[in-house]
Amino acid sequence: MGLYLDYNASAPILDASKDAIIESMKLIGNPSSIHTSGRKVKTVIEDARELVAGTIGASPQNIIFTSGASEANALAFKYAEKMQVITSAIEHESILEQKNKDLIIISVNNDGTVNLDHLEKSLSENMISKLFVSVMAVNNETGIIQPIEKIAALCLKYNSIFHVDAVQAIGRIKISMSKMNIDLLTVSSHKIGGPKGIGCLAVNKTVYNNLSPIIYGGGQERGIRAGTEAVSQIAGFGVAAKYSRKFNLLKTKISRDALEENLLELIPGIIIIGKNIPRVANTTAIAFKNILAENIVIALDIEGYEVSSGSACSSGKISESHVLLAMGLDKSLVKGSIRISLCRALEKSEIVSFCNILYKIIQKLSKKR
Amino acid sequence: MKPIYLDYQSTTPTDNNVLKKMMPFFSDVYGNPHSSNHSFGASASQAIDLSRKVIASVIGADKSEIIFTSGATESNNLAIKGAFLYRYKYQNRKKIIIAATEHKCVIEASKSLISLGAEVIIIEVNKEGKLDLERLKSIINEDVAIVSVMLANNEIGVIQPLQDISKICKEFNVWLHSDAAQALGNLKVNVDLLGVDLLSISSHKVYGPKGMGCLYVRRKPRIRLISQIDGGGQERLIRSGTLPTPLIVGFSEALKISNDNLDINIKQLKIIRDKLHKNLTTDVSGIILNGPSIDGDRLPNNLNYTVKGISGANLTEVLGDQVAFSAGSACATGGIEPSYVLNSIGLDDESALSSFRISVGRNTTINDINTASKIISDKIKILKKL
Repeated sequence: MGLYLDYNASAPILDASKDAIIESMKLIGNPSSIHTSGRKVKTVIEDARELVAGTIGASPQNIIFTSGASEANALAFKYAEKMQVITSAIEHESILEQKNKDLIIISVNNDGTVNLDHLEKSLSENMISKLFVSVMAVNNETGIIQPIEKIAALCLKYNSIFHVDAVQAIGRIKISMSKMNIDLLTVSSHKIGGPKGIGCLAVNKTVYNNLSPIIYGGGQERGIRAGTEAVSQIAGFGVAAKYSRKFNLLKTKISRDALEENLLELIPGIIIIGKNIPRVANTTAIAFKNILAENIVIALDIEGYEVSSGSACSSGKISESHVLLAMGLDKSLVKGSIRISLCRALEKSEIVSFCNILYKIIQKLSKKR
Repeated sequence: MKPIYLDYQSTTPTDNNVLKKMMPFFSDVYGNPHSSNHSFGASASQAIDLSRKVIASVIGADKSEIIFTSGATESNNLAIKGAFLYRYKYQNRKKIIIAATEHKCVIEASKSLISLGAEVIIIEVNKEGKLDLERLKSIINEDVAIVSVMLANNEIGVIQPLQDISKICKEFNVWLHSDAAQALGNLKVNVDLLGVDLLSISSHKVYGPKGMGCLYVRRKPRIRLISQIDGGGQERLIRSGTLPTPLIVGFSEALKISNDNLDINIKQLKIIRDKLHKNLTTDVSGIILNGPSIDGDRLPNNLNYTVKGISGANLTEVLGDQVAFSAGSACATGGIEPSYVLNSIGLDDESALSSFRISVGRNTTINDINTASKIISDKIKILKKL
């Protein structure tokens, strides 16, 4: 028996999303063509745009489809080109690797949430510039939920634009751009049960009028993102977005918590990161002392369990988690941290067998040293 | 009745075998290909690796030279911006040379660099649509970062003399990029024979899925690009973002199918295209073929005509539910503007607006052609009488 426990890296596709992809693939035509075939395809895109918009409290006309979240983040940061960007130390690489000048990086508290005092200080000190704050709604490695509404309030107070990378938040917590005062929002399809290779940047009207493209060409997406639209990807994304509205993760949370309790009992000395902090229901990050996370991941894989160490990044790259380091976790613990992310609530028997196998692995790896 | 589809240069239907090949990767093999520590991730990354090999071999490249993108538009943007920004910064080369007939995305991507210090030079073409080589020779020098000339044109099907252009570029160590989106599946493409350093390919023009493409980036001598989408460092740091496994698998299968039967496909396309040409030129008086002659350096699937007094946009729209073809390239603006490609080969605005493009494909039958040409010529006759 094995389990896929790496939902945050990539979610299995929903059947309904897959069906939408296959259906739309049977359509012939380029959505930009004015003939009947082209117009039919265009309808598929516009229907999906409405579904995505409805999920995140945005207007359909302000959704720009991209090849995924990395591109959406790049597009958001292109908008911020001439602004002072303030972001946090635990953001995804597609934010932290941006080439914008003089990024201000806000520290996080030990509990993994953005240090709001530090943020306010930076905002007030830089009011001379046009300000742009970018903070993720949910961290991909720990599942810790950021105080988005408080950050939005600070942004309003200091007249800053607010961008939220909501890749790990959609389908886990409620996100509404209009209600939460978010100006730009990044969404990925394959993290919510849709296909890979598609995502979007949603913006408000003011931002929309000042966006400039990073991919130029035939004027698709109202001139903001050129390239023939990935019709079937968009169709699948729309369906996944619709499904992600009605999440109920109570059972997932109960099983995640049971898994954590079980492990804490079995293996003394481990740390559940953010245990008592608001987290999304499906994620748990566990630190083991003096054991290399890679060894745990590989040993679990042999047993058929898929988990990850840190975030899934460029192939084979093994580096220490910048997220856990930013939280002040000891280096020896950072090296020994794995992430388990659930697709669904686990059965009791599944939890027990997983914990027993992990226990044996840890026993074995500890002896080896 | 479904309209007869004669707009294959705009997009092609996804091949059934391609779709079949993609299916398991939507569900069974859903790992993130970059989580290569565990086996779900590993099987996804194996599939990607194999696909990369197949694609590389089709164009005579090495798999390490293939960078996956979301399509040819992104590839073209990455090639031009990435190469210019690198060479401008490190080698002080500030000029970009492109042909007047390039795809809009090449023109727009180049122009977007002017504010960063680029000097964009647009070279004219002759009546057939071929680049003026003498003009290129006269202006190229060591200030030029990149030359971008499409292998085959989307509107008039002209095939450019890339080999000759490559020789001129090499003299000054200028990098040569070619947009080959329209070429794959319609003519043999080999990066070494063509002498290109960068080559853009689209999946949905070769019966693969939309939203997928790649950029070939030569390793020897090494071509360096400044990345345009940063993040997790995928694609050798040149293009970040989780790779869409099913799309990549579908793209490679589509290219493989196109390449396996290339000679036969080309022959068939020509037979069908020529038949259509014969029908239309017989039935419609005053019809003029734009671009190269029918037996010239022209894509085997392309036709582009002017019929004076007949609006191309109007014709394609009124016939839209019977025959799908287009008044130019499929562009998003929807506005009726004369084609700059047709302008560049000497057509005035009036003629350019009286033009339409027909492109045939693998699924087009002689029956389709006979029915479609009758519908088109009958309609033209009616419109002429009005």
